[in-house]
Amino acid sequence: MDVWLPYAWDVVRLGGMLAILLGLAGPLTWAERRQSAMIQDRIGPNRAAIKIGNKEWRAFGLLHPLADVIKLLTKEDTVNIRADRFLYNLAPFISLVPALVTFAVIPFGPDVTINGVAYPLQVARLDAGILYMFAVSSLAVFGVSLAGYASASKLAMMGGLRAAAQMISYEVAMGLSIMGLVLYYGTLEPYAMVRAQGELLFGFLPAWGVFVQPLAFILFFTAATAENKRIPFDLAEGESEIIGYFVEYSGMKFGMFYMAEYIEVIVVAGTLTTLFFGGWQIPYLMDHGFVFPWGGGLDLSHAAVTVLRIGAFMGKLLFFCWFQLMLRWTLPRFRYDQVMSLGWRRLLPISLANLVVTAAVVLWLEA
Amino acid sequence: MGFTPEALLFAVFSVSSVIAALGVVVIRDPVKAALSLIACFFSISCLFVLQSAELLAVLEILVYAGAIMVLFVFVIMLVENRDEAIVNPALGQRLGVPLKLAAVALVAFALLNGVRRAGLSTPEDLPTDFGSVSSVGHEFFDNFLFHFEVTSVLLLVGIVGAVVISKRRKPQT
Repeated sequence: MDVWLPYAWDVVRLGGMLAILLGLAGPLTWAERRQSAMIQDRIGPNRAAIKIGNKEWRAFGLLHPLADVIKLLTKEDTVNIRADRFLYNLAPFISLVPALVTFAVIPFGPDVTINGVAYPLQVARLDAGILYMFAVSSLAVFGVSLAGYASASKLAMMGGLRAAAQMISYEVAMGLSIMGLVLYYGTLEPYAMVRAQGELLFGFLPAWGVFVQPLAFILFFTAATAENKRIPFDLAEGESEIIGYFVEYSGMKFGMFYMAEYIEVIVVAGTLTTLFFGGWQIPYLMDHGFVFPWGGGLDLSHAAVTVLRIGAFMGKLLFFCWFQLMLRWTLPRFRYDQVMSLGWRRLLPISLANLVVTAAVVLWLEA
Repeated sequence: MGFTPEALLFAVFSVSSVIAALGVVVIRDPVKAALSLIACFFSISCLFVLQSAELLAVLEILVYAGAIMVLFVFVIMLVENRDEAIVNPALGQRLGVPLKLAAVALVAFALLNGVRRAGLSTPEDLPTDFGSVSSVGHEFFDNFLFHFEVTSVLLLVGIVGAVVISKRRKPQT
């Protein structure tokens, strides 16, 4: 049995990742619609129902994502006659795959020890994990720009070009904003970063990224929202003006772009949790139980600590998903020149300054 | 050294990298040729992973596929008129194709020769942190600091040059 355990564990961690990404993406579309309805004093989607006996079971509209998928899968797939069919069909895949595989380096729980062997709750523990995240997520721009290009539609082309320009611009600030954290924790490996965030500053404050690098948190969150092309940075879509790069897509090909967007929301939430909010760490919870800085504590078994920590990760993940949805329905859209000037003239210099100051402080602390 | 899964994967990715490189040369549509180049970078990145150079593999994707090729595709999309194919290529372009094919063939030979020998170094004769971020970083900043700094100055000169050239095009007022 012990021989098979590592393979079974691979299934567990891969399945865990896919369950988080695919299992949450559907409910997130529901949450987005339902939450926007609440914000705007509407009722929102609540018609889809399953009839059991004489009773209709509506589940607060939770069946809508299901009904949507069935609709998208069975819808006629129209293709513009002048479109480049090969690139047109390829683009949704190029858009979805980076969103799916970025999560591989995010640890969604602490190592589980079975018979003295540690099994990680992380699909890939790469030495250059954060670089991997940036490398893979930088590929998403191909899906978007190819979709705009291959559609042979002026509005789609506009959307594709806007998206490409915006994603290139904000990638720089996004990468630089993280480097301060990398300097402070001295590692590029997300699991080691989460481990380091279990330390305490001044004996009581958890050494979470947001306390160590508050400016980097704001910079990264802004850049990540722009990278994800959500309001207030939804110039590539601008549903009231150009519809965007997927205007010519129908059926499940559109569905894949839609899915990619929500999976990216989850990935951004996971990244924020991991880098800035201690990942699966709970303040004062050590490997053997709670140890409070004001004295006292509570001993817990390994299993209980593991379950608590996975729960903490999921809770933080859900919070940041919710937070991103709320932002979307709170803020108005930027103008295009404002987006560009924010990216290049504000975020980039500020993140560079943040990096230089952090480097100086780290050097001074080590000296 | 016998036949290992690594050798099989090495063969698969060498072949795919050569086919992708060939695609860059022979495909007419510039966007598809650029995509083929990205596929080639991916295959090469996989080859790096197989040779325990993970950092190099990630940087290959991050820099070449994720940054440089994005700009390539962006510019091609901006300037290209899809209905306009090159009907009558110039002499230089005619000569270029055989030269490019020869270059691809040379790379293919080198890679396939590597497959034939299957001379992948076994993990035992490598240091455990080979190819890791810290070991590459130590090489850069301990042994090759001067070269590293010269390269960065060279890149800076390139940036300044690009800015100067793009400014000169603007009408003088």
